[in-house]
Amino acid sequence: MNAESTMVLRWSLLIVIAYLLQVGFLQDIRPFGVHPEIMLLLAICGGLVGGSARGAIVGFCAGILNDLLLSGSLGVSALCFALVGFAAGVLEDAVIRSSRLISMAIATVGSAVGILMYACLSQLLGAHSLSDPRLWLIISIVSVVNGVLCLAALPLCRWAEGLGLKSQAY
Amino acid sequence: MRPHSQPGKNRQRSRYVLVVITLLTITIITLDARGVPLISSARDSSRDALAPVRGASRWVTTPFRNAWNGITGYDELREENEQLRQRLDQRTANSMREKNAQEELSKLKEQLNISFLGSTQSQVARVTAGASSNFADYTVELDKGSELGLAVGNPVVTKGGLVGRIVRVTKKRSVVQLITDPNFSVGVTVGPAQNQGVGHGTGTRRRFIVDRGIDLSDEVSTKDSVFAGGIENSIMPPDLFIPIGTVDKVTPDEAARVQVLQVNYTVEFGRLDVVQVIKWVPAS
Repeated sequence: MNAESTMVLRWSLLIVIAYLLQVGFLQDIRPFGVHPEIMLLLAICGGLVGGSARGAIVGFCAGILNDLLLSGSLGVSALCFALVGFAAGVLEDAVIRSSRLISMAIATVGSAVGILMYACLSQLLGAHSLSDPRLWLIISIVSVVNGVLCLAALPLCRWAEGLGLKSQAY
Repeated sequence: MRPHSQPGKNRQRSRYVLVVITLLTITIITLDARGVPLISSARDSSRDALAPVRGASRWVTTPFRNAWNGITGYDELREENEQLRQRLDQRTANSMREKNAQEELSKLKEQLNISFLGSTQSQVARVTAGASSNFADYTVELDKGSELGLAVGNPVVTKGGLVGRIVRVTKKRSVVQLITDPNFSVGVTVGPAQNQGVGHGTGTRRRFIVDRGIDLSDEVSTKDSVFAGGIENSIMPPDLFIPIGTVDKVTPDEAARVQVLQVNYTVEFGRLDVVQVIKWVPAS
């Protein structure tokens, strides 16, 4: 098995584990009635660790799985997560010297943008997400939680990318 | 920093990947919105395939979820504990005649003996999952699907009254659009005079609004019962009167020449567990 296939396998495993964690556990962990969105976090970390193309691909796969959970249109999460994953990769490239803090900031802002984008697209497709009175609460909580959780998610994504768990890359 | 190799080439590849993925997702969204059977069946099959995986993962994580609920809901737990203690005392006084299993059985029997259903064919089902989205999601998932004869459009009820209707069905599962959804409109019959109107959900679990069809001259008062059904060409069976709730407030709308009714639901949406699916589909 070559390095590329091993990497695909590792990413697939990570996405499946994240999905199981989301549906089995995090769905019920609701501080202020809002649960974390680790599939979105995975897309962002994919971009941070593997670059914009990786972010887009991981975001697409994670998003499609996420869409299967929801009752809305299929593909909306996939599109949003892919765009956010791509943007995270572009931002990481633009940074001269990475640090944990910058990665956390990108994860926080990326999560906020991802949720807002999802709300806008869903609204266009007939849902009431943008007009949801809890919109800003959802954005705030998901961003903060993802910003913190990215510290745990980044080493796992580095492992999936084949950079090793103890790599110095942020 | 992550290692870079041939940045120009990488950038070009990234853009190519983004364009392909964007076009792919837009295609999926469009096909799904148009209800193309290929996409719907792929989605339904994956939902069916993932259902046991979701169930297993929820079972595995039960202790962690319970621990979290214990931490975050400490006050509620204490209050609930107090109530339970009182109930336990009562039960002991009654010589503990009934066991938990009997209660469960009676709960199911209760759903089987819904008076307003008459001899209409129905199927008992259990709510397996509530909303999965952070945003307002007015759906619940049932553990029964098309293999037991459920179909899109089937009304879903409890002893309390109308819960919603099935909007998506796979072999083993169904998704119910709750009546609380603002997009859920249904023909209603109000009060002893049987005035007919149209009502819809408001997004909350407390209020249903009837804002069409009840003229200013129609006799309506608070505490009047509101039923779905009893109307030809409706999304509910014309021969059944399914309770929705009771009128809480009547407000005349002089501009539209109608009375707007605020209705309190009779179903407790926070405690949905066992429901009945009426095997009836609207004509169109």
